[in-house]
Parts: sequence; structure tokens; C-alpha cells
Amino acid sequence: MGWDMEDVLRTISNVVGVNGCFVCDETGDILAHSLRTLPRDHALSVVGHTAAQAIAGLRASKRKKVDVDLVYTGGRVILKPLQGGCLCIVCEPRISIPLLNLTADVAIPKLQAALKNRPEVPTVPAFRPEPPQPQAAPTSEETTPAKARGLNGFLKTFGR
Amino acid sequence: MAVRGKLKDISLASLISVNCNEMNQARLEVWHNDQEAVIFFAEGNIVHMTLGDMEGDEVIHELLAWEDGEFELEPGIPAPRQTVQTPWSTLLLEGMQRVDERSTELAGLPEDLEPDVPATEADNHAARLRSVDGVTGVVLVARDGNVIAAEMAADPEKEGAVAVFVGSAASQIGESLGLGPFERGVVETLGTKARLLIVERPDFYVGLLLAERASPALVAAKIASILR
Repeated sequence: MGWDMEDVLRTISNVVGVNGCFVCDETGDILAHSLRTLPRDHALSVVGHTAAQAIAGLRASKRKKVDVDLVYTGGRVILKPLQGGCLCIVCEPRISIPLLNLTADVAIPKLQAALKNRPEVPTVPAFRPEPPQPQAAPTSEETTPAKARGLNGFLKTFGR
Repeated sequence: MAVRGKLKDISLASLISVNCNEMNQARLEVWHNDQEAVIFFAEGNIVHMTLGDMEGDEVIHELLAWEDGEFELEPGIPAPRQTVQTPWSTLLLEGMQRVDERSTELAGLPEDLEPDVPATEADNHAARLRSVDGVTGVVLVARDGNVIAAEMAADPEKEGAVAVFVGSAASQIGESLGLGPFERGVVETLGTKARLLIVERPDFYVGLLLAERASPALVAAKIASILR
């Protein structure tokens, strides 16, 4: 059965405490979204690309099935990998994660099926930022260039 | 119906957290050696505690040091009176800090470590963080990926690399969405239940491997109080 990704995302956005969610592909381009309080702007594209990078990095470190939960003073971001992409949920910091997971666990197979069946239409990349770069160390003696510098440095740590 | 159990299976901090979060009205009796403590919960907080002749906030400082013992939780029992006004989360944090300070004194470790410290002091830092309840491994890693100190059975280079990578991504995501400072991140590997808690400090990241039942929020708060 074919699922409309935005319909499925709407069920997640309707969970109390969720401000919006979207699915991006492996390159970080946003394929579908359901945004309650979030604007669809440049910032969301940055998040999509950064999330895709993070998931790619974790896969490289042999963490193929992971949930990433990022908590900030003013919000929370949950990343759930999909085959060929990633689900990103932006919510309030004190959201009930078990309650959110009840809905997300039902939605993920449908999103997975929709991703698999989606036509090969190229998305319009709004913005493709650089991968996250750790801050430079203060002196050259303290710096190990090969380590943890974006995805490439990260992959080197894992012998890729 | 009463629920009985052992503290080695579920910690007192977890019992308090669950009962307060679920807004239970209940009485929790705890036995350790020949001592008996009683805690009453109501409306999302602890309202009354006794331990021998002691009652009120001070009781928690003794109870959190109990690593073994038995408990019985009886739902629906109202408190006979109110001796505790402090929010439960504050009580837990202060109590755990007090327990940690006590164990540090016993271990003879320095308490005034600064984040930007030589390797040996960073090792002490890691040892202190490793002793936190619910933490099974620690890595301190600089923003450039160099491991400063580690106390873990797993490969600290790899866990440190994940901590830096996810921490950097978290900062970028938070900045883009205007979510304020990054407090903590958890990478949970589904199936294995392995969880890596990531906490950001000005000069480095801390990666902490968590025990199965550990609360990331409580551990992160404890780590913050130690690193403050």
C-alpha cells in the first residue's frame, strides 16, 4: 500500500509537544514535512543536511539502527534513521518520549514504504551546507587534523 | 496492591523519579541493614520522609547512599503530615551531589578540578564521572577529537569520535533552529540497548556509556554538577 509521506508526518506532528517533523533523503534534501510552528526556510535545510551527515557517520561507526535524542534548553530534536533517509522530529524539551515513540513506531514503516516507492524525481536542494566542523584547537601542537573533523575525519577514526 | 523489590534491581533515585513523574500518591518503605525509611509521594513531589528520628529533606542524603536493601511501594496511602517542601528534582540533585562528595572524600580525590587541566587531573575527572550511579564508561575528548582521558572497557577513541561528531552536529542543529544551548544528547543503538550520553563542555565533550536503567537526564544533571 502506498502512503503519502505528509499524511504520515501529520500524525507525528499531532502528538502533544511536537512542533514539526520532516523526512530527508541520504543527502539531506527534505522530501516531505509537516510543520506546526517551524518555518520552512533555510534553517530547516541546514538541519536536514546536518542530520543526514550525523546518521551517515553513525552508520559508518557500525551503529546502523540508532535513535538520536538531542536536548536543548529551548527544544528537542529526535533523529530516526530510515533506509535511504532520516526522520527528524522537532519538539518541546519535556515531551513524553514513550508517547512520541508510540506514534513514531507506527509511522516509520509507512514512511519507509513511501521512501521505497517514491518516484525518482530530483529534489530541489535549497541549501547544501558544509558538514559540521569541530572548532579549531588553539595551537597546532594540540591539533590532530585527521581526527573528528567533519565526516571525513570521523570516518578515518573508524578506518573507512 | 503493594509492590516489593530490591534496590540493586531499581535504584531509589529511579523509584522517586517514576513516582513523582507519574504524580502518584503512595508510601515507599525502604529497608537497609537494620534501618527503615519511609517516603510519601503526592501531587508529583515528595511530601514527607522519615528515617529513625530524622525527618524532612535531610533524609534523602542518607537514603541515596543505600545501594542495596529492599523496598515496598503501597499506592494510595496519604502522608500523615508534610515535612518536605523542596521539589523532588532539587532534592535528588543535592542528595546525589552530597553522596558523591562523600565518596570522593573517602577515595581521597581532589574536588576542585578545572576543565582545562593536565592529563593526570583529567584522569581523576574521568574517575569521578565514572563513579556516578548509572555510568559504565567515560571518555573526555577534546573538540579536535583527541581523547584527554577515559575510563571504559570499550574503545575510547571510537566512543570519543562519536561524542565529538554528534556533539558538533547537535550544536549546528540547535543553532539553526534557535533552540538555545545544547544540554545533552543520547545515541541509542537499538537492539543492543547501548546508550552513549554526550555532554558538551566549553573545552571538550564528555561521552558516557549508560547502564540499562540509567536516566540520561539525571546522569547529565549529576555530571554538570560535578564539572561545574
